[in-house]
Amino acid sequence: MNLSRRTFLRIAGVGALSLALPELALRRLVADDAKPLSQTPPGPSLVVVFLRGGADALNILVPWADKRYYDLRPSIAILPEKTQDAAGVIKLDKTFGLHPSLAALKPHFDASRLAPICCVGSPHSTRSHFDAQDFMERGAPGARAVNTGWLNRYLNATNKNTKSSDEQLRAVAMQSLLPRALRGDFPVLAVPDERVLNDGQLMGLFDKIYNDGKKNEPAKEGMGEEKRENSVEDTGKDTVETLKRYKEILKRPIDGNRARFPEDALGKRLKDVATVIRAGVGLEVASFDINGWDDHVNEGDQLSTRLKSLGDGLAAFVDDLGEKASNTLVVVMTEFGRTCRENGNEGTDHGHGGCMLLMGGKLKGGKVHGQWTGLEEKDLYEKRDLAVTTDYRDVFAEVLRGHLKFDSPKDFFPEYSPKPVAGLF
Amino acid sequence: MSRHLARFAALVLLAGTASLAVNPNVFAEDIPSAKAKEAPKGLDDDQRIVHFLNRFTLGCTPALVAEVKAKGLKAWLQAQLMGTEKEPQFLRDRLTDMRSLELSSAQIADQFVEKPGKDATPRERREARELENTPARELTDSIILRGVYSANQVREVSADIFRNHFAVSLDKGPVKLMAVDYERNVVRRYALDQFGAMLKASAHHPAMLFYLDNCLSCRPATPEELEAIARRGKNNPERVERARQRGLNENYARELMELHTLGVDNYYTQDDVINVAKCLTGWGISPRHEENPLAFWFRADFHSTGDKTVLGQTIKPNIYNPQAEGEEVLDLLIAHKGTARFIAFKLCRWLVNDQPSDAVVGRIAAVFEKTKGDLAACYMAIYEDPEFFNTVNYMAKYKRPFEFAVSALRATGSEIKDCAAIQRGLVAMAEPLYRCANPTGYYDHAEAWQDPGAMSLRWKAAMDLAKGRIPGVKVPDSLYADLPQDKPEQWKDRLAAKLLCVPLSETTSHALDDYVARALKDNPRVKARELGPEIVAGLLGSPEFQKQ
Repeated sequence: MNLSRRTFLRIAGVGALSLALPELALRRLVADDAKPLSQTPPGPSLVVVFLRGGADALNILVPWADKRYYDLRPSIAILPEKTQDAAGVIKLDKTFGLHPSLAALKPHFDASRLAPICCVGSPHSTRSHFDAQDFMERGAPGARAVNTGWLNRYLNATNKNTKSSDEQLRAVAMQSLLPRALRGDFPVLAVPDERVLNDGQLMGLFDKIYNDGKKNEPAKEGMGEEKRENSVEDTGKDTVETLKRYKEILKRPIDGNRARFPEDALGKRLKDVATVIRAGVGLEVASFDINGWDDHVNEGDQLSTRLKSLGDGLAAFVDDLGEKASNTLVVVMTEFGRTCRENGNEGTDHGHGGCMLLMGGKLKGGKVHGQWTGLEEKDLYEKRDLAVTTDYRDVFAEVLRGHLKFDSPKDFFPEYSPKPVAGLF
Repeated sequence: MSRHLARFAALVLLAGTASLAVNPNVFAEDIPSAKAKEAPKGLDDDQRIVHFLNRFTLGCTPALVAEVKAKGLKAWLQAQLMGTEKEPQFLRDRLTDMRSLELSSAQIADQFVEKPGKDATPRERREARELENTPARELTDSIILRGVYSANQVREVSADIFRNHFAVSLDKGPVKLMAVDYERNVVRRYALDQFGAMLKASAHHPAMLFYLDNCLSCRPATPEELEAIARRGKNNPERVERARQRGLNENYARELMELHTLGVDNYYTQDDVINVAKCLTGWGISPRHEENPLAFWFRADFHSTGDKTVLGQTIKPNIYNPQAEGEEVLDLLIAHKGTARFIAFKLCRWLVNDQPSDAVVGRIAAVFEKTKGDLAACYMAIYEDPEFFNTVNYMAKYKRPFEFAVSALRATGSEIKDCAAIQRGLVAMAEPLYRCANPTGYYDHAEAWQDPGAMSLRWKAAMDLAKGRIPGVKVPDSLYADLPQDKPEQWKDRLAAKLLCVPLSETTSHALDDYVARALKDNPRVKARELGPEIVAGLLGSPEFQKQ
């Protein structure tokens, strides 16, 4: 049992009252009890959005100036200029533009807050979703023996306290299922769906069972002494306390959300992340998935709808954070890109090289990063897919270093030494 | 059953928290219940039975405790290891109703796959999709139903272990058409038999050959072949390219050693992986147009010729029967001491402790070697091992989501009409059956499952089950039938005696008393039938019920 953690959680969890205190005061309270005061200024936050299914890089970051692009995609290409029927590409430079549904991101590109990276991906050749996702989330392409996510390894490596679940809100997953990137030795709270949070009866019942606090039984039969600290009872206690705390944070109208988020799953999650960040409870890493990017058929409209949600959501997120946006970096990624050539169903199949969108923080945005190799057949991977010129681990390492001020140690990415991504930060 | 149950209920009441039932001042702060039970040196007789059933069934119930008590542990286990206990009629009926379960993969492909035509309506497409998903649904539903109702619980436990040990995933292409046969002819057939036989069956099974890509693995094309293909395929550059790129796929060879036999980086090197892959080239799946499609099919033209060295042993090329090279590799691995150790460790982790001692693993490995991998013998040896009943193992394992779900359904005696909502629950709790994203299978130690977010989902599941909010699943009213309306202070203990095989901890007991007291204060006339489900939810979500 760890007294300071309990006190820490209790103080932070007293309810709306304490959370309504000015942020600094709250942090002092917390710090007095559990941490040295030097930690008062809130640190940077990283938000990772994973587009599951292999989002089509070429229709997100569109190489509008390349004639080959239009040859390869006669029916689904984004046109260079708008026509009567279709919106045109949003030009970023002489090579690239954004999908028109991402219009809300253009001002952020102009303000140097948005940095797309082209041709990012894995050295591994897999076109399997789950292999590619697992490899990416673990930062370990091809290494099936690795079972920890790269974000969890970061949390674990920077965990100052020996009692592992001390800092529950250093990281949250904005979904019931913990994304693989957050799995590992450091305990991360996967935020359950609202039905759990809003079921007063359920919360009341298990608050009683796990968090009554009146009786702490001595270790008895079973669960050997050394295992007590990670007992089911403790996990339950952490669950109740963190849920309550989380609920309070979400309830708290921190000078009101400034921005209007899209009314969908992505908008909701981004809004929740923004709320937690603005509550200033030390959130370092948040992550969630958006499913459904596997556009084998009729890509046009579906991708358009999803990108509109993504673009508007991200723009709202940055607006909502205000000045905190400069301390918050969003990374949008997907497991692989798709075939350069459209298939027979106005869709695309699993490919290789993809793209990433980075936004916020102290990025040097306003320019498309990465090395573009073009769409000539000889330049494609296996003559069909976008080549990979930037290993995603290089970007991860750069994000950890540039944003979270963490130099990944040797073998943080198993058997790989990341190369710097010049000019990102 | 009900008589046994009542007797055991009485027993528990007497042994554990009986003082509550007779103590008029039931909501007092101090309850002298568990005091009498200072941690004893070893487990007492009842605890031994509970511990034994915690490990060798998918959910200990008071009724089963009574059954085992009457029969004796060893006799019960011996009978279970035969795997021939008569199944309840309604379970057999339910399984018979599922029409894909006894079919071969070819029959399944034949009867459940209808490619909708170009002009198919959305409805027709949906129906075709549903039809195609039927075998996978029936397979996973059957696993739930057998887990909950089967009289052969040890076989179910073993099937659970090896379904994960030799994991394949329904999410990869045609595996969903072949997994029914895989479960029947690999996992279940050998669950209480020789490990080696199961390994061989998995190695030959199309589901595994496809899942781990061995069916694609072949020797590289010779320059002459490439030339010939190029000549023939002038108009088809893709075909030439495919031929140029074809070659060895190490996926299965690696997992065969890493996950199925020796354990990661144990005894083998990258060279061994390549050589094992070479030996297994040609092990593939018969194509649709063959007489017996979707079955094991050896393609001699894929096979890699020449000498291979595996684990220091030369595998001579067998010109007359090149498939035999792969068989030789499997035999080599089955007999390897590393395999005995690795499998023994796994069995001990599942059945003894998350961190089994070297000593117990060594003893079980010795039995494994001596009996040539007889799983039934290993299970008996675990039961008879001096460490098995050690108090540190008692209630020391955290249930996986599957174990939690099945044990909750067993404890409540739930009637299951439809498993769909249960399967969705397993998805939410991150352990959907036959859909592990990795060939590792789902892990069986607390670290993999015990995190706060997941915990709250169990509470929700417990509440949903108790409150009848899981469509197709019903907790029988009889659970509440004997709760005396005028004695609400007894409800918790009576329900606990029906659901749990261990006494409630003081904390849980106190919390639930408090909860009941408060509910009574709000509504003094609250019915047992109304408050009962909330108590049941509390019990199923309690720490006691998460452990086994």
